Amino acid sequence: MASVTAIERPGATWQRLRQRLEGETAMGYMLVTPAMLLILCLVVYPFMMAVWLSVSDARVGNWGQFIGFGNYVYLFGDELFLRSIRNTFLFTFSSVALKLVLGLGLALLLNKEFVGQRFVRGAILLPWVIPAALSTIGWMWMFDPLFSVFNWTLRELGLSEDGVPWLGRPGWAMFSVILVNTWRGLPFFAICFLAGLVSIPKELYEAAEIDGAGPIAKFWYITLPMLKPVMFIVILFSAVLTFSNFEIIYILTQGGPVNSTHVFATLAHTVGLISGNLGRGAAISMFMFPVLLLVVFITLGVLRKDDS
Amino acid sequence: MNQARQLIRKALGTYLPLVPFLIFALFPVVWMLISSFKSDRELYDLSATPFWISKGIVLAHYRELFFETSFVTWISNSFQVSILATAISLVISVFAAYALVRLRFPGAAVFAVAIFVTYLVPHALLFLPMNQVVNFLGLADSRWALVVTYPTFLVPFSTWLIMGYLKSIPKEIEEAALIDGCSRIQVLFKVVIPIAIPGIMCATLFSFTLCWNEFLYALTFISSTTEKMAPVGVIAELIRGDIYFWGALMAGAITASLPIVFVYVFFLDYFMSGLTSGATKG
Amino acid sequence: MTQKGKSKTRSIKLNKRQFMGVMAGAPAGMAAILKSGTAPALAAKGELTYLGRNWFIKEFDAELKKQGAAFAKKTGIKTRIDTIHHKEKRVKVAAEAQAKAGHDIILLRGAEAHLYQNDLADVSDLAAEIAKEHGDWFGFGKQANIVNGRWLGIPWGAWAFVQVYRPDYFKAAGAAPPKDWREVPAMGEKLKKSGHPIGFAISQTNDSFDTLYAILWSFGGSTVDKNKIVTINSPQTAEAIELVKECYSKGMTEEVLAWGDGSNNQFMHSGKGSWTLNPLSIYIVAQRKFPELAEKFEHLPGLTGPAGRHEYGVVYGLGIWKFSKHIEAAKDFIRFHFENANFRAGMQAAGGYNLSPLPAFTDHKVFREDPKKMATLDSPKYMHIDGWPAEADRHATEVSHRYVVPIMFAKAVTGTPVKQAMEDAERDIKKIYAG
Repeated sequence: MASVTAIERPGATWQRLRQRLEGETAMGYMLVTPAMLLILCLVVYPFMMAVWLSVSDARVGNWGQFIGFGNYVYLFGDELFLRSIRNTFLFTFSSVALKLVLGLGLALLLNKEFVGQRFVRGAILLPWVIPAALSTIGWMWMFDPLFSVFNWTLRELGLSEDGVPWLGRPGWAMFSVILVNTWRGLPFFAICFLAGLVSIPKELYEAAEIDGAGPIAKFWYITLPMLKPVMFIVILFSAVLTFSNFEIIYILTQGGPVNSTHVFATLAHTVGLISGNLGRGAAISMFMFPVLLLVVFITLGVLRKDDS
Repeated sequence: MNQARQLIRKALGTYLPLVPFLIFALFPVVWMLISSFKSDRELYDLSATPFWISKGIVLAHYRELFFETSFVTWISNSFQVSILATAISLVISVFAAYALVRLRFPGAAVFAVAIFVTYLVPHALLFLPMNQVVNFLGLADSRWALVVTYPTFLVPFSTWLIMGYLKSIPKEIEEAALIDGCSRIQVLFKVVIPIAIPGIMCATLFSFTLCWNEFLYALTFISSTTEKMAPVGVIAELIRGDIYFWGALMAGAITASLPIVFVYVFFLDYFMSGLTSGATKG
Repeated sequence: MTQKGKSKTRSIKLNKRQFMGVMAGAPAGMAAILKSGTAPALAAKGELTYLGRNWFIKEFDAELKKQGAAFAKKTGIKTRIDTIHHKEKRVKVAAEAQAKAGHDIILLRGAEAHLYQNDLADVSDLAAEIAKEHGDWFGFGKQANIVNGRWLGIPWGAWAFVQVYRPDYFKAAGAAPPKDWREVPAMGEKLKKSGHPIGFAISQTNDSFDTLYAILWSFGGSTVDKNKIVTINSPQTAEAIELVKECYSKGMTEEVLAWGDGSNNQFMHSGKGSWTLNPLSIYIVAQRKFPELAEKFEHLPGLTGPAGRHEYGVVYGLGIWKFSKHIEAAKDFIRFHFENANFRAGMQAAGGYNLSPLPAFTDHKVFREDPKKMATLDSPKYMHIDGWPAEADRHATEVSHRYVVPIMFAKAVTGTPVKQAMEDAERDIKKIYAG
């Protein structure tokens, strides 16, 4: 309990002013203002500009003229764009699903008591703390057509003479970028889930045991429901980041082979920046937004229902 | 006998399943570490075993990194920017989170959603217009550009996390302090913040990591070698056209992540307990 | 209906500021301020700045910085040279053009002078001045830097894609190095059988279109003709595809489908590869890291085909932003850089990697000192850039960076019928040129 010292009593005007500021409304606005200012100047304004770009014919170097939904109409007739929609969803869905399942499994293991638990918990975080731009270059070297350490192993074990075309064939390339994304994101999932597991009251399990519930029943009826809120939030954050991921694909495949890994972010980069069709690039990026918004509202909805 | 059985059960139930996870997480890291100590000759030798160093441990890549590039400056820049941006974001977030969780005022719900949605706007969409703002503020090509722009993604995230933590603190503690005659500001600083330290620490660590790893803004807003952040600097200096300085790149990746690893090892407990309440009540 | 809608929206001519007004009040005000605001910090610094890419030969970056310092000493204008990775340079250049603030001198790669035509200062006078002193520019410099009759960049140099090969492997396999593309499959077959395959990238990377455009053009194919009519779907293209298919199936391994720009370097450095196309970097890096390997490399000039010899040039130019506060100083720096001693010092530092944009400098001693580098010298005559024979506009750039041509080849070598691959490419190129 905080000890409270006697409060000085200055002049009456000061008192009134203070009281007014102390009111919940004034106080609330005051405390939220810095955050709002930041968002207004550095997010809303640039965002508006981006919206503008997506409905303009802007080229790199100018802000263009209004052309309505021309860019969007164009994109829906663009084979590569349609392909990148499919790729983006496949990439996001697979990565998040993998991270979810593996993350849950890992969290359950880390939640057990064992010698070296602290070390393991720390070690598991490593992929997440190495700057992604650099670790992906490490992966690039591991997938290298010639020097791939995986292919070397396969060869030495006599499993495959030619090795796996990690980045050379469409299916494998998609697998590889998903693998790298999962590698990087898994610690975040595991640690957040672990935090959720730790906070589940032990009594619940004890009660269930008395009722004769087995491990599967306990997992299904206690662990999963209790983890639901944290799961949704983590999935949400991860889905957002995965959906708009740029670095991994850009560094590893540049969208190849045969455009099989082009996603929104890499395509927007190619079209908007490299080729100078800023307006169209912005329109591609904009496509991400409604999807993400939808994900958010679903998540918020689920969480709210959960609260009540 | 019984003890031995328990041990076996532990091994089968805990350690054994952990092995694939550990290999998955650590193999690339360890492998990068090994590569950073190999001579170029061995790196390019197809017949060499990639898993260990057979032609002598070589420090040349680290020497190159530390003495032929401005790596030390970049690391120091990364520290400065990450610490400052994190500090600013946390002050903003703690205020906002407290207001949104505890105070009733018109528009609070809208603010909360607005903060949440902000997190969703992809960087790739913002960086061009943002570059304009940065230039307007006169911050082009300075570390301050990052200190100002990083909070845009740190604040939404930290606010969410701290809100979750605050929700888990019983209201009664604050009310007692208010009845005792504390002002709201005093309550915030003397009661709420001390209790919320684990949550704040957790947000701090997250924020710091996000800053340290950020790439796009760090690339766009800064071009002088002396102002660069670590990941951007490493790539700018060590991938030159079609030549990858693999050894030095790996050395850079490993070295650039060491500071964060230390931070985590040191604060892991805080991190865990902060997340425990923060995440679940989100 | 869409036609009507289009003309209607055009006639409204809503500009950005009005739009912002519609969207929201406060940000609109800020937009207005921002629009008029330039970067005060940079203008105040009073520093001449150059943004370029890093050269894998660090000595070249150092030489450039040295010249910057010498220029500063001579004129009293502080000069800063920034060099970053070339892919990231593109992002920075775009951001600077958008913000109308940044560096003063920009290293332009490929068609960037066309891409940024509205933001680059006219340097026709300087181009004429330098040409007057040293003789006329090579054609590639003109194709890359003259936009609508004005010079928007000063040609700076180019990299030639020449044959890099291992005579020892050739001898062992009984293969002879080719002069014509049509000799490559048979040669590759022998080499691959001997355990040392050949290779060039057929993937989504720059090296890939560097080589594949050369093949396409040498067989008489092209993406578009002079009037930008799409011509990719042609018997000539089909021939080029058949050749690449043969090269791939007889002489290469699947690896080339995943190659990045650095892969063929590693392919040769590992001792596995026997033949590829690349600038001198493979050789020069070997000289530094694996001297005994460098001894074994040889170079030969680019190849010809039924339609003659055509090469893709990785070309560079120096542009000055129109919004720079130091346009005259920037021109002075470029002038200074093109002084005989300085330019030659640059070529020396780059070890002959950079080919001169001016025939006058091709007699540089760096080539005579190391005859293995001579093979690159006649490439500039045959070089074109994206979109040839039309101009290198944004459409051509997009065709290149969407890797339409490499994808066409990649599809064909992995089993898509040639006709189908060409039709897909035709559809994509038409779409891009229409947009």
